[in-house]
Amino acid sequence: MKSIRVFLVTVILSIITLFIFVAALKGYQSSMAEANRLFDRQLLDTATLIANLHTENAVARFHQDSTIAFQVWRRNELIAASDNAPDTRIASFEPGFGFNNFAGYRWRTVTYFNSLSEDWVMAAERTDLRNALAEEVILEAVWPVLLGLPVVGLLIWLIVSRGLRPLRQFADELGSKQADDLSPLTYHAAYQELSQIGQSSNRLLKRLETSLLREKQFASDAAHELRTPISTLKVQLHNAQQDATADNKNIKELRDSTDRLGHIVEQILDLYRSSPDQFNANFKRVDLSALAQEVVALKYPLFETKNQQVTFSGEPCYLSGDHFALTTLLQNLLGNANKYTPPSGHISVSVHQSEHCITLTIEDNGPGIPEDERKSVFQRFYRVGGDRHSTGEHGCGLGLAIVKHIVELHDASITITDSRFETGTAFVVSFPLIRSSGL
Amino acid sequence: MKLQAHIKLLLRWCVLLGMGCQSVAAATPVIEIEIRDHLFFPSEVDVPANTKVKLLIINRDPTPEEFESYPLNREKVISGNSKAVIFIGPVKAGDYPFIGEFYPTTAQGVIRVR
Amino acid sequence: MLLSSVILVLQETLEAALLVSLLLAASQQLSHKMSWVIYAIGGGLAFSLVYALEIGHVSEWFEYTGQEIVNASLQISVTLLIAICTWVLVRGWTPENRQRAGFRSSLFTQLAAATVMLAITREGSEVLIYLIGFYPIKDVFHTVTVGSFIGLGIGISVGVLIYFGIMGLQGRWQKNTMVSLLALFSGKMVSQASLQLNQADWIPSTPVGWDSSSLLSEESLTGKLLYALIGYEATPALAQIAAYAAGVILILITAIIASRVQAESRSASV
Repeated sequence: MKSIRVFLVTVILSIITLFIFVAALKGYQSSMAEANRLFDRQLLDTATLIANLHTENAVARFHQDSTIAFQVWRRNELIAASDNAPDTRIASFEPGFGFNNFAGYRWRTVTYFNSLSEDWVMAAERTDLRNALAEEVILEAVWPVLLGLPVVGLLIWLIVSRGLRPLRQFADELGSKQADDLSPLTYHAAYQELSQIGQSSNRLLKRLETSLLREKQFASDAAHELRTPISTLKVQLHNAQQDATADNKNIKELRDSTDRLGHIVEQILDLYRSSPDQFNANFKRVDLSALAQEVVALKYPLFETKNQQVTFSGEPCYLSGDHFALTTLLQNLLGNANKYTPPSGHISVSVHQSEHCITLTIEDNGPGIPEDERKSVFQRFYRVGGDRHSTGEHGCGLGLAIVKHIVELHDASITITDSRFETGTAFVVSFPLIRSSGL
Repeated sequence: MKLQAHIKLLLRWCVLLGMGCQSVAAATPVIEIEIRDHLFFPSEVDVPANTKVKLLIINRDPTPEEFESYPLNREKVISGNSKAVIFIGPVKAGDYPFIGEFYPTTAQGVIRVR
Repeated sequence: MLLSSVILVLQETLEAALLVSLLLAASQQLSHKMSWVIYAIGGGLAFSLVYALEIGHVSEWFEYTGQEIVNASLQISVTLLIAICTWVLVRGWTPENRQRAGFRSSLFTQLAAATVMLAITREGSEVLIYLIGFYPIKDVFHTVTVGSFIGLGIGISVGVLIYFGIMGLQGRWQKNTMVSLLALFSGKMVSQASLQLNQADWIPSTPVGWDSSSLLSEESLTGKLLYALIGYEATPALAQIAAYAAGVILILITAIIASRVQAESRSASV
């Protein structure tokens, strides 16, 4: 994955390094040239001085420290020299600057011709020493630049990180959004660079909200509109059955289908009946344990027909919720258990209160739900194993979607685990406790 | 080394065929240059024109040096207290400066091809 | 001292940085892998240390021309490896192509690592010989380290900019730029190898092809940078020019054949 931060830091640092170092080099070069010009002028001054001082004809040797050497030649004869100069000439008989190697060093030489005395004065200076001197001075100027570079690097890193922070926070705002939270994003408003993406995202969210609302509206409207004709259909089927011969198979199947249709329509209405804002207002103190027992009793004939054994355990647990919605939740979960548990199976319902939550557990010893499908069963119209369920039971795949919806409305959570029987699943719903300030 | 001789011959033929240039002179004159205190001795070397020459460079310093001549396209590291061989030419008459790249301010010299 | 150390280190760093950033960009394109470069540079530096410490012995091989022969061998090996890299790069530009050609995903990074390792062995040894030579002389060593640091800094910076420059290019342009730069690099390698062999008297001298020293001296800063980047010579011998051309053509032909084979295998499988 490419990183914007690494890109920015390395490229900026490279460009800065490149420019600073090249500038330092250029500065070094010109400083060095300037220093050498200065040293050359000094050397020439020295030569001129020697020429003017040296007027007598005597051959003499002068003691000199080793950084400067000189010779004075008159008509090809060495008439004066420093100790460290060799006997051979150290420069050419031509006025001007040059280089020569002697006495184990490289020297910068200058030849000065005194036209009055016709003396050739040759002065020389050790190049290594003058270079070292000049270099030392220039290095002092270069050092701070070099030492500053890591600091500059660190600063760039920090600044780039700071500069990218809005992006990260914008990403956080997007990431922390709840699945059903379609409210517009606000963070980007302060940043010119983010406003485009923020506005686009908000437009997208708005469109999503409208289309979701339309879907909801359509589904509930359609279901509502379908209710009346289905009821009429049922009545008319009932009448038709009365008229027809006792065991007309077609009519019986037609009635089953109509029942199922009615069931689906009821479920759809359940799913969309409650939107969060109008819902919370109806919350009351509910004893989940009592309610569960009530629903088990209500559904008992169904269990009895399949000869299933239902056990209940629990103590009174009060939570804040909607009576009707919780009933629907229990009905759907128990209905599923009844449907998918084979005859003579076991179903267990329990309601317990712990320190943090109230837990409703409904377990069966049916075929169970494969691990990888457990997440998907809460999706609308999803059915385990596709359209044709292995148990041959009919269903529309809405029951658990409604359960999930109700769970979310109650700030509760639902998980599917293995049941304590050999096979089968356990639906575990955890409700938050009533806060003391509440009801 | 037999293989080495073969490769040499092969390379030589490649170049001769490719470039069609003159053959190599038989006896190669040897010229000695010494490095002492980061200086070349002698710092001026006279070399005959259009002749291949073998430079024998003896480094008397304990430190390494790199012989480098830009106009002759020569570059070679000579470690401390050792010697190295560099073949140059045949080249046209002229001055070909060389330096010791590790101590370029002092180690300087020129090959005068006459 | 400072300037000479900067230039010496810069020349070698720049050469290595160019190759590393080229191959790094290519491997980023092919497999999104970059860690190989650390091992390759580390290995290269280790080898170059061995070479630097043993340079005295190596020089004595082949009648005192061992250095030239070893350097030329390294340069020729690098060139051949670059040619193979180019083949894998062009032939396996996309994942489907790589699969069709049967290339392992690590093939390119291994080749690139070997190339970088060999190249750095030669380039690093010169810098290390230089630094080791100056280490005992304390006051100069200080200057030399500063200079080396500056040279290294410039070299790496140029490398980084080349890398992001290549990464900023798209598709075909990116591939063609990579191949062209690899071709120039290979040309430089072969040309230098020919020079080394000539210096060792394994191949005879040839007349100078041109003299552009008055136009752009090889000793100037620009000349030295161009030498490090594309192998600029102010007075190249004809054999050197031929060698340069051979190096460039080798890579270009490899790239052309690879893209032909690639196109054929695609049309065959469709």
